[in-house]
Amino acid sequence: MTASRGWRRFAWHAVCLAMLAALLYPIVWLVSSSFKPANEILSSLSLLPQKVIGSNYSEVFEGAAGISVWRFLTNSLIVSLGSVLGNVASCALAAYAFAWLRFRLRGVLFAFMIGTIMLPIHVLLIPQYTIFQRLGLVDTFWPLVLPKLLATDAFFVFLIVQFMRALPRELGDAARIDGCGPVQTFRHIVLPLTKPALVTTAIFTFIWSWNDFLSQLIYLNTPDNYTLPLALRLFIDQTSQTSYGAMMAMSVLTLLPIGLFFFAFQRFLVEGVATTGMNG
Amino acid sequence: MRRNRRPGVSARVLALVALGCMLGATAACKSDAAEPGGNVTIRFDWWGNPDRAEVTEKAVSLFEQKNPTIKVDTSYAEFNAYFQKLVTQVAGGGAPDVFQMDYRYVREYADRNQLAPLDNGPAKVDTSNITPQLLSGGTVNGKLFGIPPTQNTQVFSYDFAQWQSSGATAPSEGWTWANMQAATQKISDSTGGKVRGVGDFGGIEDWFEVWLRQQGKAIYTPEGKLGYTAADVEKWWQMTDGWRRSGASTPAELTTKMDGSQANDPVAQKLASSGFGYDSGFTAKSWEILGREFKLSGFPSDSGKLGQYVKPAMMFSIAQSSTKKEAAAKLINFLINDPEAGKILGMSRGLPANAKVREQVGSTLTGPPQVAFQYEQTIQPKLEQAPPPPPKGAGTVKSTFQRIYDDVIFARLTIPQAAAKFIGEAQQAISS
Amino acid sequence: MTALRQRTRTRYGDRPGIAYLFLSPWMAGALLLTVGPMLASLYLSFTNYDLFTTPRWIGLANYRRLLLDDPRFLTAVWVTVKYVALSTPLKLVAALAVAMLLNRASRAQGFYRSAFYAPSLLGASVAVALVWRVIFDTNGIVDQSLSTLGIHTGGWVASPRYALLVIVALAVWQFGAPMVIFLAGLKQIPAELYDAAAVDGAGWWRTFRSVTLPMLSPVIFFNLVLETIHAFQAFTGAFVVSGGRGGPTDSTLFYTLYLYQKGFTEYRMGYASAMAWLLVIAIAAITALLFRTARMWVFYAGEDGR
Repeated sequence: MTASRGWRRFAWHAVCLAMLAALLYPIVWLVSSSFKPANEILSSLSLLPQKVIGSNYSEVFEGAAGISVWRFLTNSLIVSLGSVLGNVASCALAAYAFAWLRFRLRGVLFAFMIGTIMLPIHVLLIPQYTIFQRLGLVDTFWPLVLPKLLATDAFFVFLIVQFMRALPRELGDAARIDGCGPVQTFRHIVLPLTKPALVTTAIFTFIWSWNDFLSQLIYLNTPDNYTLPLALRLFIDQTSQTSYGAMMAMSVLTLLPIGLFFFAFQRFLVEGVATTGMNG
Repeated sequence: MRRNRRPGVSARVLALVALGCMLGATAACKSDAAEPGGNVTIRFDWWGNPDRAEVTEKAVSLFEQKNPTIKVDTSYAEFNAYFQKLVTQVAGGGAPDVFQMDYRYVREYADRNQLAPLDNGPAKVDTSNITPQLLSGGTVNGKLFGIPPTQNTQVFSYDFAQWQSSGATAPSEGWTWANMQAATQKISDSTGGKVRGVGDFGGIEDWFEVWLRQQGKAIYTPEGKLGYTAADVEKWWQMTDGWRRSGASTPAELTTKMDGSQANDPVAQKLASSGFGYDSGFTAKSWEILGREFKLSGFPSDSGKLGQYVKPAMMFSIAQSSTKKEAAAKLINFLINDPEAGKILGMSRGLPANAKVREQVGSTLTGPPQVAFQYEQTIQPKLEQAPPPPPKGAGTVKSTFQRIYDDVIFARLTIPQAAAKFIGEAQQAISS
Repeated sequence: MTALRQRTRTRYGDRPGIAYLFLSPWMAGALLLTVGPMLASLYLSFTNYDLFTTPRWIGLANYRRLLLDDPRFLTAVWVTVKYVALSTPLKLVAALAVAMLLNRASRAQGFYRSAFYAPSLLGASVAVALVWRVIFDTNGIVDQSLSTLGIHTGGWVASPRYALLVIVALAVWQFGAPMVIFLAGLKQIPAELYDAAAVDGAGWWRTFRSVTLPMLSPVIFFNLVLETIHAFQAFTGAFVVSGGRGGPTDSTLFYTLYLYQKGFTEYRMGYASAMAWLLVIAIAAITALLFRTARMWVFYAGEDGR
């Protein structure tokens, strides 16, 4: 019994690690390239740098346009954390209404919400810019955070809806018998039980708003307001000389915070219905 | 609950209101021209890399020192991102006051009344020291809409050590396309095809243009029509495709990736030993990045006519919507004419277009930029005047040229078919 | 009568407005930021709009030209359909398989989850283009491995035959998002259902079929719908790998890439908007179809089989 369990565990690790080796090869190459001189990055496929150099990183830490890399990092954090808070709150509220409450326009509004995902963003870009321009909010963080506060990313509303609909209906009945109104039911029953979905939302919102190059490019003007990914792109201009080494280093540095964020928060995914003991 | 679906009147009304706000509200929120105390703030956007940013910021702060009532907010990005942002801003009513403009887009913006004239009116800039052949490149319908801070020209660059060791005859005054074919073939042969003589350049409209001009034709007529026919394209592609087939130039898989970036440039990857380009592409780090040194030469020609011209690498323009045109013009004036600014900016945007500044900068150069500077000094007398900015749709024509050349090198189409297809699409692109 | 009234009421009978209160941030966002731009783009699709001058009404001309007189449009549709058909199922199967693999108690789970998610962190950054070249270029890792097996394909990125597969591979490689969603879904399945299955003596496959799949079906459905929509809108992968050109020979000319070229490099925003709305119609039809079939296989514990 124990021997077979040990064997199965070994097999499990072996399978996981083998898959990871293949999947992570490109990332390892990326990290190792950040320690290579520029001409070696383009000419060599080798995973190990022939000569390890740190100058790519020191170039990055010099910052761009006289602004330190910490400033970019801070800006990115403000935008991403603001987005997370806004998105989780507003999407959870909307999802609760769609999943648990009955109201007249539910079908229409739900269909409309799904519909908003379907239009490619590129045709919305200019009208949306016009709105923020008129509101005088260009070159602030508002155009990046406000949409999240107002749950405009239907992806997450739909995600949470699906999780809330999967909760056993007896919960709602029990709550009603106990005299809970919709607000109490939301706060004390539905919200705690959809924690995996909320954590998922938080993680994705953080990572995606961190990486959302296009909006940051359009709405931020002053280098003081630039975010880390925006600053990263400053290292690559095709019409002038590209610092590939610095670009690689910057890529790694941009990945680090979101990697850490993911690693720190993924453990909350473990706690769901299955482990909180509130079964049905 | 499905049955009772009322039209949702309130939602509709609100939607209309929102649309009205969006489309209706005019320039009410535009910031005022003058700020308290007579100070103005102008915005200045450009594309480039961090090196350019560093010196530009320095020059701008010197400008602010000399003009204490003007504050300049700067912003920059890489080329493609820059233009997507610029067009969004212009269309959305938030154009910067001063911005860097590309030769390819200047007519597009000027025709739509988005640029302020710079030779007259409040945005007038002093251009008396700028290379005169250059200004025609920023002139649309007789008005100047873009001033190039720098100039460049087409160039052939080659890895002379390799050319020597392969026994290829180096380019010299008056060399021909046949000379070039023989030399590049020799390099491919001597390396067993590992390194090709030249990166296949058949799909790049810029080099086709030089070849056309050598025959007294032009890429666009003054009326903005195509200046050549399918027969010309056919002849050009016959030549370049022949080089590819014989192995003198790069194979299709390498050629199709060429996008102007170093990562996809066969020369930078040491898979080709020469190529066409612009001389502003040589910066202090060029040899280090390419891993070897290059020599520069003019284009080969069969007619004795060189076909190259002084090309505006980029321009500075002022938004027609700007309410601070005087301050904006002052900034451009400073950046292109001020000797101190010239010293700070150096070669960051290429060889200065202002003759005095150019002289001053040229004397301080070393390494690749100096090679480029010398090349341009030698070839300058033979260079022609810049053609007027290309018509709207020219950018599409350029990318179409490259895309359809892919059909040639992957043998998807015969050369006459490809040429006919190209002419059809090109005419459509510039017609509407 | 009373019965009918009761059905149309909210679950909480006497306070129907409460739902709108919960919805209010979303509705404000929709009205302020979404509806206007959507209607604007719909209007623009009937105009000739060059971004700088006032749009000129031209009726259905954009749509007519797209459907009847634009061979590249048809190429783009075909490329996109192939991509959706390949990438969506592959990505979902990979995501579900890895999620199942990781859904067991182990101290290493956090590490594995993060490691499997790592490719998705890269998003579509420019570094991806370089990284991807290393894998799929001539003499890259794929070419080398296949060559040792005696299959000589050369580089994939620059091959009209294989270039699309490179972008499919990129999409499948970044299966992290659906995987995390699957994992969250798996966590939500009540443990006693598995206990019951174990008591019944169900094997792995039966448990999967009769417990995991039905309980996970809302999440599978979500992932299927969203991945399909996203695949139709795929842009950044193609943009980054092909440098925005969709080459070689238009083999990676994705629908939205072509739309982008029209709108932002040719400044034909009216035409691009018409393309966008044709895409919406296509996606809406497919999504509606998915929602319809969902009634047959998606099981919501919170609702009876309406």
